Amino acid sequence: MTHADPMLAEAISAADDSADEVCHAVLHALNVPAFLHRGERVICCNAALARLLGLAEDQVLAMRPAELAVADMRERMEEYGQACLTIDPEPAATEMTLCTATGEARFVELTARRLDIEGRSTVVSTCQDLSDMRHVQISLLNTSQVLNQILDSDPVPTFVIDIEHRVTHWNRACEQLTGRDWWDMQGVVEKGPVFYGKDRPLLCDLIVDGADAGALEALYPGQIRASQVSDGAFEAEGFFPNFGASGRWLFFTAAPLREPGGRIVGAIETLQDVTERRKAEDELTRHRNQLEVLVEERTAELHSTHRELSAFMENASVGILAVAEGHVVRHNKKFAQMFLSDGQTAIGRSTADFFCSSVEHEDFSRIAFPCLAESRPFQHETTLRHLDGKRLWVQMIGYVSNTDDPAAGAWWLLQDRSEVRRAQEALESNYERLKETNRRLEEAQNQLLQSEKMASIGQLAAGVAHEINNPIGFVNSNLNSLKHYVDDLLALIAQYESAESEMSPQTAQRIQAAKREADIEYMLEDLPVLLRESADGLARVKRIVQDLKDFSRVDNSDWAEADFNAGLDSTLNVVLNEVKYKAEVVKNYGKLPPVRCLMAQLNQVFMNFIVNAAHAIETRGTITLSSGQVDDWVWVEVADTGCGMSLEVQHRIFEPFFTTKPVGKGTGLGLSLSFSIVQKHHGVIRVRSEPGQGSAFRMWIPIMPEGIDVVPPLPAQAQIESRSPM
Amino acid sequence: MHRILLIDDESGVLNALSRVLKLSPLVVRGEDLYPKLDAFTSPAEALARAATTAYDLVISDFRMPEMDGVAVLREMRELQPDCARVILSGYTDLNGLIAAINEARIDRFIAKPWSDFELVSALSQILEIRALRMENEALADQVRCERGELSPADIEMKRLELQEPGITHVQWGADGSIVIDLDEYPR
Repeated sequence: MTHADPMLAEAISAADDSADEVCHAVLHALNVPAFLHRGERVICCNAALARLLGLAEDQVLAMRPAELAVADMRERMEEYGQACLTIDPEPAATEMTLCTATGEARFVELTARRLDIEGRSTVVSTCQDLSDMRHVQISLLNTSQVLNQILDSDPVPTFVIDIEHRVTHWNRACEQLTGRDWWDMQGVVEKGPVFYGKDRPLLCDLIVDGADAGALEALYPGQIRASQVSDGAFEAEGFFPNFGASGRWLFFTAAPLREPGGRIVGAIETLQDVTERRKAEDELTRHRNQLEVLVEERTAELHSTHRELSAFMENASVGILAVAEGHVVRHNKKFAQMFLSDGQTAIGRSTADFFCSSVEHEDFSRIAFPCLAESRPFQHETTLRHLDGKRLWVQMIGYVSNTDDPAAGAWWLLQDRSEVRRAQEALESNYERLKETNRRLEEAQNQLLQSEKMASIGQLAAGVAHEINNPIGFVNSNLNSLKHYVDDLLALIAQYESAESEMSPQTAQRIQAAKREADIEYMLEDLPVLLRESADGLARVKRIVQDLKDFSRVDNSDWAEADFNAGLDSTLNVVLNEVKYKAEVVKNYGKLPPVRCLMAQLNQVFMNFIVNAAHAIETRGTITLSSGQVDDWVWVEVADTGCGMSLEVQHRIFEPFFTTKPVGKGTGLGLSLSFSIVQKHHGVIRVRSEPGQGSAFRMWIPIMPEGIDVVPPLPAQAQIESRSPM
Repeated sequence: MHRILLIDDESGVLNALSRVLKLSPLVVRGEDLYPKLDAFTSPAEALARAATTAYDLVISDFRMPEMDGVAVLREMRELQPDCARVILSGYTDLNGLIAAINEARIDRFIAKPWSDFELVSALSQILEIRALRMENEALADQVRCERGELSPADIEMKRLELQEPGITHVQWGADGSIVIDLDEYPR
């Protein structure tokens, strides 16, 4: 601008004398906005100025110079214009803000020079438009401010160093992270202590120094890597224990700052706090590891469970079968043992193969499927068959494998119950046998009871016998003595009688009277009879006692040869009391050989027959005792003329406890006991009976000498003569 | 003098036996013998008498309220070993019979009711045998005496003991005194 001055001055001086047109021309020739004034109005302006202000030249000419400036600058503009007219030398150029037609501000550098044109002081003012420069300056400033703001407000801790390693920027996040203020760090070269607690270069320092990858690697072994994003930048991650409560993980990136020419002028380093991420990562890793361990454990568990289950299934003692759509998909060893031959497999086979017939299979399906379809377990026992045809009694329990989809298939547990069934059957038959045994036992017990009863009767009888034997003993003896005495007395009387002739008549008469009084003749006649009858009576008492003793000797279980007729008599003697008021007893004994038997027990049989016969007779009747021999058998019969028995009764008379007698009269044991006793002798009992006519019980006993076990054949007579009740 | 001891809880039996033995003499060595009879219904009383009185024969019932015949005769055997022993009973079980034979060493078992004739015959026989045995023993003792195996004093003691059972047995007290138990052996 200064260089224009001489020229302008020369031009103006050249046109000193010419008209203002010269000035005009000069002004118009100038590309620089310019105008002339003489302290009052603008007297001349060029097109450049008009353009600058957005006004027509005429409009400008009407204005005072101060009016060209913006409102608050007009005073200064006025002052400056006046100063230029008056002060020598003129004031230096000044910055001025002009106002355009549209009110916009135009920054200009205003240079005024005083000229003497035609003797009048004229101010030439040139305007150097500063708007663009100003704009650039403002822009630059703005940019720097924005940059600072960006840096400052960047949440990522960031700092910048220049080529001299001095810190030029240190943003707020960085302050927070490091705990160091920008004021502390501004211009600091040794930043190492802040980060590492000792002096050492940072990544940005290396970047500024243009260090190569090797040097970087040396300082950050294993961590450093080139940035994928920006050229020449490097990034690394590290742990910084100084920061925060328990240290911080930082991911830091350093990038070179270059001049447009490419020369490095600084470096920017961002420090990204990745502690949380690291923690999260660590946590994640830990969690993942944990999960992995868990998964491993679970897997192992699952494997083990699976193995166990498999082993369990394989070794289970029941057959296990998985069935889908009617075909075997899996089975265990036990199943194979039950249904398959060696080496066979059931997998793929139809389950129908294991049923005995298709009908059975269909029947089974018909009852099993509805149950399984409702996801209920199904239990059943049936006959299945081994593939080779052998039949098995099997208990089956079925479960659907998936309760949500009952059609998916089923598990079947099969247990071979053949043995159980066999055992059960055996048990049942055993039970039957046991019942039979029990029945026999009961019989034996009854017999025993009876025997015991008889034994106690025997003891009683023996005791009674002793008691009776005592008086019998002395009565019997006394009777003998009495006989002696009587004999002696009779002899004495005979002596007296023979001496009667020698007596005085009075004495003889007195004796005669006494004799008559005593009926001596009858007495002498009757005395022997009396004594004999007494002796007879005593003998009978003795025999009864003897019979009682014999009869009661039930424990005397010796087999001995005996005479049945004597047994009958002896028994009759015992029970005569029962019989004699009811019936006349007719004896019709045949000749019998001695028979080896348990006489005491057979006596009981006789007694039962005789007592029953007596009981069958209501008022008075006849009991006939007969005996006889046919071949090698002897028989004894007791027949009565009593009430007889119906067929029904006849069928039951040998049942224990069956009785037709009133309660308390009979035990219902007599005939069953008799039957047992006779059976023991290999004999039989035959009954003839007609209701209203009477009954006859005939006992047949084989003659079996000692040492002979063969039972002789039953005589035809015994076989046909009557219906055998047994 | 021959003595027979009768023991039965039933006095009727005792009386009947007395009558029989009075009416029918026992015949021993061809001589009719009417022995003196001591009858007791109480075995204890009978044994008390037997402690001082020598008997040729004892007849006892088997079942008695105080003690049974076996016990009585066992006791008798201790008191008078040479006295013959007979059981007269209407009843006995096998065990009783075995005890009677093995423990009481009875000479005869006679059942009630008895036959008088059989009874008298049996008793005669027993006494006959007893007399023989006694004679044998006496002769044997005489021989022993002659051989010097037995002193006349021993023989005399034996004779005295036979006549008066217990007379040769002196009961010495702990203090050297002679015990005469009048309660146990009333004279």
